[in-house]
Amino acid sequence: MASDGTIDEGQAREALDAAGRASTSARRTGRRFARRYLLLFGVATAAALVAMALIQVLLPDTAIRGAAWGACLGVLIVGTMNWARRQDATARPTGLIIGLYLAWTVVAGLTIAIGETYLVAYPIGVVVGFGVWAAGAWWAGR
Amino acid sequence: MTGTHPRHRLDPLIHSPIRLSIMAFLTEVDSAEFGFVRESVEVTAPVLSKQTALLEEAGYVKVTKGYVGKRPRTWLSLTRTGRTALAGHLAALRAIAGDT
Repeated sequence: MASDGTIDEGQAREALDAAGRASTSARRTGRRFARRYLLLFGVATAAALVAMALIQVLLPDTAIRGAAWGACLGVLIVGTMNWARRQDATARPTGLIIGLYLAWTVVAGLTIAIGETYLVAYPIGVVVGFGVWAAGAWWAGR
Repeated sequence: MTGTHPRHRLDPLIHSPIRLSIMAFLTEVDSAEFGFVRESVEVTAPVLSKQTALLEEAGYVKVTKGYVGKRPRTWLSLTRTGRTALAGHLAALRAIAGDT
C-alpha cells in the first residue's frame, strides 16, 4: 500500500497473484500430505485387521482378544500421529477422514463378525478396507 | 478514517507482501514447519521469524514449539481470526482489482 493509503488496480492484482502463488504451492503440499496420510491409514488399518485374524487364531480368550485389539488401535493412532509430526506440513481432510473411518468400521465389523466362522473373510476385509482408504486418498489427491 | 472504497477494508498488517504470502500459504494447510514455510515463501529465517512474531501478536498466526526426536521444531498455523482477516483483505483486493 502506498504511504498515503492508496492502492491501484495493478498493485491489487499483483498482491492477489502473489497470494495465489503461495496458496497454490501450499495446496499442492496439502494434497500430497492428505494422499499419503490416507494411504498410511489404509496400510495401518489393513495391518490391524491382519493382527485381528492372528489374534483370533492365537488367542481364544475373548477378553484378551479385546485388549490385543485395543493395543493394535493404540499403536495405529500413536504411529500415525508420530508420522504426521515429522511432515513439513499437515492438511487433514477431516470430513473425508470421518466418512472413510465410518465406511471402514462397517467393513471391519463385517469382517470380524463373519471371520468368527469363516477365517477367509479377513483377507477379503483387508483388501476391501484398504480399498476404502485408497479411494479416499485418490479423491483427496485429485 | 473509514469510507466506502474497498481500500478502507485492507488490513495494513497483511498488506506487506511477505506477510500476505505467509498467510496465504498457511491458509491451505493445518500447520506447517517453520523451515518449510521459509523455503516456500523464499525468505530468510530472521525475516520469517520477525514477520511471524508480528502476525502472532495480532492473533493471526499460532506458533507451536516442540520436538521431533531430539530436534526442536516450530510449527506455524493460521488462527480463525487470521483466516477471517485474510479473507477480508483478499476480498478488498479483488474489489480494487475489479474482480468482483
